[in-house]
Amino acid sequence: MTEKTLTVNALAAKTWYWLKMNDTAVKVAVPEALPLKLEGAAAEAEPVACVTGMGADLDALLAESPANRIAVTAKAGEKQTARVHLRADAGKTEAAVLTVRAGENAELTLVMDCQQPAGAGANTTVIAQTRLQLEKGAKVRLIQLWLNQPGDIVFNDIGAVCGEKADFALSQIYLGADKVYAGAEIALSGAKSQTEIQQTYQAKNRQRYDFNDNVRHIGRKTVCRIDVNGVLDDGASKLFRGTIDLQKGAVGADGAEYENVLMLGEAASNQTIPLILCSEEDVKGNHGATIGRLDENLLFYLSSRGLSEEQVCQMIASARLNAACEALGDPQAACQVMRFAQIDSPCEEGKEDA
Amino acid sequence: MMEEKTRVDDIDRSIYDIRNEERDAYRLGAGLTPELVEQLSREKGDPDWMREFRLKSLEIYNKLPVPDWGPSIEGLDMDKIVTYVRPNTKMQGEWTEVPQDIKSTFDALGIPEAERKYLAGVGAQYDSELVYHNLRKEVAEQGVVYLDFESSLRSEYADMVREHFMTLVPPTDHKFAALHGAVWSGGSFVYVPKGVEVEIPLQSYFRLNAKGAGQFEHTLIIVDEGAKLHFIEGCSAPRYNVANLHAGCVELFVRKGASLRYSTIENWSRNMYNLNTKRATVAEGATMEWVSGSFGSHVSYLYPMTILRGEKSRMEFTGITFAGHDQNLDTGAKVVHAAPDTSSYINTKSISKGGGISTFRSAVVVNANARGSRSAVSCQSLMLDDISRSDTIPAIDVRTPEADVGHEAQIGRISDESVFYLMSRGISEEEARALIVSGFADNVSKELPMEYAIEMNNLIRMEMKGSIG
Repeated sequence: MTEKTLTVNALAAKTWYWLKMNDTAVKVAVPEALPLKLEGAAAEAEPVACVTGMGADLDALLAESPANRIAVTAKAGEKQTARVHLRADAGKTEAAVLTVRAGENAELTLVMDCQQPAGAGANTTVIAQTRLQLEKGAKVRLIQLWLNQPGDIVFNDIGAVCGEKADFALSQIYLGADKVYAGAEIALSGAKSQTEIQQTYQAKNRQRYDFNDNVRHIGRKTVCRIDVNGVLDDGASKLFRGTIDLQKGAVGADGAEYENVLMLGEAASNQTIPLILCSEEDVKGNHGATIGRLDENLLFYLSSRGLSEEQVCQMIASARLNAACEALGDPQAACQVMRFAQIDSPCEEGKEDA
Repeated sequence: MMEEKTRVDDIDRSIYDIRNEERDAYRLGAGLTPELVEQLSREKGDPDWMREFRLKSLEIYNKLPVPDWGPSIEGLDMDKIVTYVRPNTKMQGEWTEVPQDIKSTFDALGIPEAERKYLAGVGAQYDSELVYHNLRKEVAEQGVVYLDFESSLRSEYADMVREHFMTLVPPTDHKFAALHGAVWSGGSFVYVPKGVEVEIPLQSYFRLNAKGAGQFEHTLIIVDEGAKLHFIEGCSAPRYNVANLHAGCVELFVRKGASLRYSTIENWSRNMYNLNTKRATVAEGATMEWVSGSFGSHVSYLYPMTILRGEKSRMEFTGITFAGHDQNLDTGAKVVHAAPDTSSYINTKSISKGGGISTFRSAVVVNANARGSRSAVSCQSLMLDDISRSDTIPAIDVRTPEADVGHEAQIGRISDESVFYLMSRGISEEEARALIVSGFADNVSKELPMEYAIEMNNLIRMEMKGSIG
C-alpha cells in the first residue's frame, strides 16, 4: 500500500509557524474506489474546474487513484433532489469524486451521507471530493452527514463556483470519526451570488477535526455567511480556519463568519483562525468567535433542578445538534442524524433508512 | 483660487524630515560579518560576555530564515545596512551641551519642551547612541534607576541587566531578534523599586538620522513588586531614497502587583523597515498595558507580546495603525495566558489609504493551566479607498475548558451619511473624513497623555491630507 504525505487545508494567508495553523500534513494511502449509491439526478457531466478547500495535494492523490466518479445534474429550470450514500469498506482507504452542475435557475438539493454502522465499517478512510458549478440563478443545497465510527478518518473536500445570483447552501454535520480533514472553497464569481455554510461537529475522546473554509467574493454585491458550531469533549481537538476574501471589484459585498465552541472536556483544545482579507473599499466584513465553557448561571439553574453537570452538558450538546438538524431543512436527513446520535426525536422508525 | 486653510495646513510635516549632515560621525562598514560585530563590540567597550553573546547571535542570525508569512522585505539588503553610526558627541545631561544641529532636531520634535512640562526623565538617542539622558532629581531620589543601556552594563545594576538581557526575547526567537542580539546599541535600562509609583512618565525618543543605517536600541524595564510606571517611546527619521532598518528590542518585567504602561507613537520615515520586537512578562496580580500608534515606516512587523505568568495578572493592548501610500504595516499583539484567572483585552483599529496595506495579526493562547482566564479581542478596520488593502489574521488557541474567549472583527468604510452630515454643518469633505478617522482612532488617543494624543491626531490629519478624489 503506497502512502503519501499530503499538505492540506492551507491557510489563505500564512501566519506565525509556532501556532501550527498554517496547514496540516497528513499521511494517506492512494485510495480505491468508494462504493456508493446515487438516487436521482444522475447524468453525464463535464468535470468542474475550480479550486477546492483542501488544496492541490489532494487533487493529485485523486488523479492517480481509481476513485469512483459520478455526476449529479439539474438542468436549466429543473427542480431536483438527489441522495448519495457513501458506504466504505472496513479497513480500506476509498475515494469518490462528485461533479455537480446546476443550470440556469435550476434548484437542486443534494443529500450526501456517509454513515458507517457500528462495528461494520470501522477503520475506514473515506475521501470525498465534490466540485460544483452553479449557473445564473441556480440554487443548490448540499447537505453532508458524516456519521462515523471510532477509527474512521474522513477527508471531505469541496470546491464551488457560483454564477450571477446563484445561491449555494452547504450544511455539514460531523459525528464520530477519529479524524476529519475538511475544506471548502467557494468562489462567488457572479454578481449577487451568495453562500451560506453551516458546520456542526461534536468531538470527543481524542478525536481531531481540521477545517478550512474559504469564500472568495469576486462579484459585486455577493454575500456569505459562515456559521460553525461545535462541542469538544474529553481530549478532543479542533482547528478551524475560515477566510472571507473580499476581492477588488466585489463592490457592495458582505461577508460574515461566526463560530461558537463549547468546551466540555478537561483536555479539550480549540484552535480558531478566522481571516478577513479585503482589497475593496465598499464592503462589509465581520467575524466573531465565542469559545468557552457552559454558562455558569445556566449550569447552576439546571443543577438546581436535579440534573448532574454531566447530564446538563449532554443536554446542551443534544440541543445544539437538534438545532443543527432542524436547520438542515430535510426531515429525512435530520432523523438520520438524531437516530445516529441517539437523541430523542419524533422521527418514525426506519424513515431515515436509505 | 481660494487659499486652502484647514487645520491640516497648520501642521508642519517638515519637522519629521529634518536631515542633518553627518559631521565626523563614526560609521562602521556596511554589512554583517563576525569582524564587524567584533569591531562594534570593541567600539562599545563591551564586557566579554556581551561580545560572546553578540557573536553567538550572529551565528543564529545566519542560520534562521527570513520570515515568509508577512510583508516582503526584499528591498532590505543587509549588505548595505550600516549597523553602527556614532554621532560625534558624548551623552549629555544638559540639552545645552548637545551639539546644536542635533539639539535643534529634538527641539523641533518637542522633546526638551515635553521634558520640562510633563516627563520624569528623558533619553534621546541619535542614530546608534544616546546623546542626552536625564532623570528628575526627585524621581531619582525615590530610587528609580533610568540609565542608558551601555552605562547600565557598567553600573551597580550590571548583574541585574545581565540576568535579564534577551531572556524574554532570545536571539533564537526569530531572525531579527538574532540580528538585534548581534548589533544592538543604545536604548535604556529602567528599574523601579518595590512600591514606588512614578507619577509622571519617562520617555525615550529614538531618532535615526543616518542614511542607509540601522538602529538597534535595547530597552529593558523592571518594575518591581507593587511599583508603577508609564514609559513612553517615540521614534522618527527623515526620509531617504535607500532602505533604513529599525530592529529594536523591548523586554519588560512586571513583578507581583506592579503596573506598567508602555506607550509608543511610531512615525518612522517611509523608507524604514521596522522589524521590532517587544515582550513583557507579568507576575501575579500585575498589570501590563500597551498603547501603540503605528504611522510610519515602509514595512512594519510589530506585535507586542505579553506572557501572563502570574495568577490574576492582566494585560490590555490598545493600538492603531495607519497605512498610507507605499506602506505595508503588519501589526497586532500576542498574549499567552500561562496562569489561572488571567485576563487580556486587545482592542485595535486600522486604517488603509492611498494603496497602503494594513494587516492586523494576533495570537491569543490560553494554556491548559490558565483556568478561569478571560480574553477578548476586538479589531476594526477602515478602508478609505479601493486601491488599499486591509487584512485581519487573528489566531486563538485555547487549551482549557475553564476559559472564556471572545473575538470580533469588522472591516468597512466611512459611511456617506456621516460625511454628508458633517458637510451639512459647514465642514469640508476632507475635514469631515479626517474628523471621522480621528474619532475612529479615539480608543488610542484617549489612552495617551494629552500632548501625545494631539500629536497622534496631527499625524492622522497629515495622513488624511489629500484623501479626497
